[in-house]
Amino acid sequence: MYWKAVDHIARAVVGISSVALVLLVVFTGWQVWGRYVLNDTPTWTEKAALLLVLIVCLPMAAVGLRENFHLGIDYLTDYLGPKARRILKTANTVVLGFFGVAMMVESWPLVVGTWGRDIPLLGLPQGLQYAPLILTGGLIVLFMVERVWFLWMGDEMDPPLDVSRLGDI
Amino acid sequence: QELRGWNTHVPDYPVSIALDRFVELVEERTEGRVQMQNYHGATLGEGEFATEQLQFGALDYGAFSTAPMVNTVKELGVTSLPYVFKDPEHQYRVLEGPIGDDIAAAMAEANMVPLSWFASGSRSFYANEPLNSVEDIAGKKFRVQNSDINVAMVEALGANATPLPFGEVYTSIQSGVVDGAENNWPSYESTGHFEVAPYYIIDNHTIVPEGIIFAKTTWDKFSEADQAIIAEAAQEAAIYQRELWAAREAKSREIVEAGGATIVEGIDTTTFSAKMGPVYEQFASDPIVADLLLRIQNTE
Amino acid sequence: MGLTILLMVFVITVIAGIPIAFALGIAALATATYQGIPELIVFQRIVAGINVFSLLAIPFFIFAGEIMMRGGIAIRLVRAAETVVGQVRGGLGVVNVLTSMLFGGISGSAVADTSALGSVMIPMMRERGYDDDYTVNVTVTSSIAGVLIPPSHNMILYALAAGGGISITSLFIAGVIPGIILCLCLSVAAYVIAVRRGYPTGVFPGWRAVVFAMGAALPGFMTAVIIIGGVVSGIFTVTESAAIGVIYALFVTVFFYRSLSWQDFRDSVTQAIRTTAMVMILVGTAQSFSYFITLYQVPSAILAGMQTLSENKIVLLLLINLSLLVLGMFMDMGALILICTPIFLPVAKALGVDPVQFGMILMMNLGLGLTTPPVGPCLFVGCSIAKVKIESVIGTIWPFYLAIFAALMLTTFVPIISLGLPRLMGY
Ligand code: NA
Ligand code: NA
Repeated sequence: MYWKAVDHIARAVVGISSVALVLLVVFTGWQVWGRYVLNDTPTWTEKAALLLVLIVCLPMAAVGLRENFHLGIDYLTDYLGPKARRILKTANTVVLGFFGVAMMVESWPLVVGTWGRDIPLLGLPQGLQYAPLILTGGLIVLFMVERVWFLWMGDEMDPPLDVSRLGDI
Repeated sequence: QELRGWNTHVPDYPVSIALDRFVELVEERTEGRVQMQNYHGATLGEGEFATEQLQFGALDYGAFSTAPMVNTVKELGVTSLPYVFKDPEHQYRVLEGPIGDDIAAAMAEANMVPLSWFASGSRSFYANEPLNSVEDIAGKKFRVQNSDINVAMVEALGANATPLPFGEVYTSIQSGVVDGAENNWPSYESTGHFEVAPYYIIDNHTIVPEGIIFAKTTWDKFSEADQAIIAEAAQEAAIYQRELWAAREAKSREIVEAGGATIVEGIDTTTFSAKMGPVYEQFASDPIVADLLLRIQNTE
Repeated sequence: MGLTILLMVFVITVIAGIPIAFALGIAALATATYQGIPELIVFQRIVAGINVFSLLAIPFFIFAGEIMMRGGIAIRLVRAAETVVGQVRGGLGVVNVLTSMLFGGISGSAVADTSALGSVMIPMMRERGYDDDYTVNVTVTSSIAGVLIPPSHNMILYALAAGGGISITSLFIAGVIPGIILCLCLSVAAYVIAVRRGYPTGVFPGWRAVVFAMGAALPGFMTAVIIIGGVVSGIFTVTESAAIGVIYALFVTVFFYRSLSWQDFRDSVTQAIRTTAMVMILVGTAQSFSYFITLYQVPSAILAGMQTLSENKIVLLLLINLSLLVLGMFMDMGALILICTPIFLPVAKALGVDPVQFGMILMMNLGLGLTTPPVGPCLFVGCSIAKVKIESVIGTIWPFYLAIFAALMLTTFVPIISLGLPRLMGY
């Protein structure tokens, strides 16, 4: 099935984000180790962790739109009849898709404009911190296209909200 | 349309008061043609993010430090080097002279127009153990800002550089995570750091310029007459700020001394700057920066 | 006009069903376009909002909570609490509250508490003859303790929203007493209702069992001691403490309890990144949103408006509480902390309320909101674990709301409850 590819992409994002979270723990642990055991604080860990946290959460936020784990109010969509609900959901999906497009387009100058300089103490291009935005925007667009397709061509693709996934706000 | 002005300091700080005066002068002298609004306290964004906003034209002007710009405008690197300025007056002579013009030209390429320079305070080391000479710096852990030059400087002095968030410095000195930090008089006082690190050695290692800087995209929209008015107002505001700063420094010094801190001053700072070889080698290797460094050192 | 666009777009998109985190970003984007401010600012603020060192503690707290839930720390805390207070009438209700307090000392998140403890407590209480509505109500309302008892990532958000002038450590310390008072009030409510409904009494298992259960729970509970101890002593930054907490929790559950399988670990990671993404994107887009709130100088307008309304401190404080309660019913805690703090904190300060105390007031108000319809994540999670409808529990939840309200009023009008402990410890 054609849309299977989207599944794989979403799974890849989860994989990358998982590795980034584990690295985040390792880096911060290394910082403490360096300070107290080696008596030589690594200066790069903090900036590296700040870069990693963007990789942990920005693309996952896009996946969250697909998995429906973000918090929102569903009262209106639940209240409407099937036809009106489908139209409203389509409108929401399109608005979110545009937000994804804007994220891609507007983040490009941020990446380019800051690529030439380094993140202090890390020596990597500053533009890297905006790069996940472009990926996130792209993922949002992809997932929203997928959703519109399923809303009209397939079963109503609306995975039941798995409340065990709700984290704290 | 109202111009948006950025400032990182709280409203009653010398920089903020001077920036308010600047706005007043401009609005009055342009007879309302130019409307400005200061946003104090970094409410529109922090340090490097605010600098980026200026660069992208999302902010119109503000009181900016050149520290976060070093990675964007190569020429500004020289202003963050340790022991490059002899004292604040030396810094003003450099920045308001031909060297300053060259730096301004380089800044213009990154969409920035500097109009006047404030007193930004010179930074010195403090610790929880006596600091009497450069030898006492060695072997200690000092908190530094997140910048390559600062880390290199502290390491060149034989000490251990520990980047920490500003808000955590007090408890970190208290608990012995670090032995000390470095800052100017008002910060040393207002943060209460002098209570936990009462030995302050005045080595004046860095005086990083801070001033009124406009976005070039905004600046180019003004008529020449308005540009002249605004530039003059900026200069007047800077002179006013320097007075406020001197008073503030004196007051902080009084509080710190009354709090029982030991101040060591009048030391021979060449004993410090003599150790800066590797720092200059690393950060002034670029021919343009090296040339600026030489010209600054030759400025009386 | 710009402000109208900002608020209207936000309200409309939220009602239409767009997730709140994205509604905030979309509203900011529309406003930037209207105002002629480069749109890239909206996205720069998202990155700037997330790119804050103290916020790094959030993924770690969330991760630690997941490990503890799946690695058997939660169940051991329940057993320890049961041996101590299980023998009073309706004792499991009080056990539920006490465990929330203990677990809240580790996870720092109310929804995590509800899901972790709910999945243990709800079946257990049901088996012993407690009604579903009572069970869910106790579980859900007591989970608010997780927000107050340190560590609490919501406190970090508050410190951030306040502009960095408040020490996270003093907020952590300040949360202890209000958290305990909240649990006391809830315990009273749980006990009174249990007596009226004639719920069963447990059997005292004997001192040997008490010592044994506590001994089993202690290594897990040490996670909290390590995190809080690291922060309060200043040995670790908050972020470092949280990371050490994760490493320690892993160590205990893998090598000591031996109850965290590889699959459990993977589940912990993949769930933690989801929750992290959910919180952090909210932090980011709330930054974009509040960029415009700042630009239109909303806080000073509200400050002025409130001061014309009344000059009486008590009236104004009640007014702030009421606004927060109502907002809390409709919105997420994280978003509200980030948006309301810059607006209400100056008002509170002008009334002479210490920012640390105001933090506690804010946490309690918004915590209550987590348990109320129409938007109450804790309530939703609790109901879904018990597989009951919200309508079936909401009719009998009011005594618990009343208990929380009592704790809220004490926190609002008795400053020493919040400030006593931090002052005693020199903050
Ligand atoms: Na907690
Ligand atoms: Na609610």
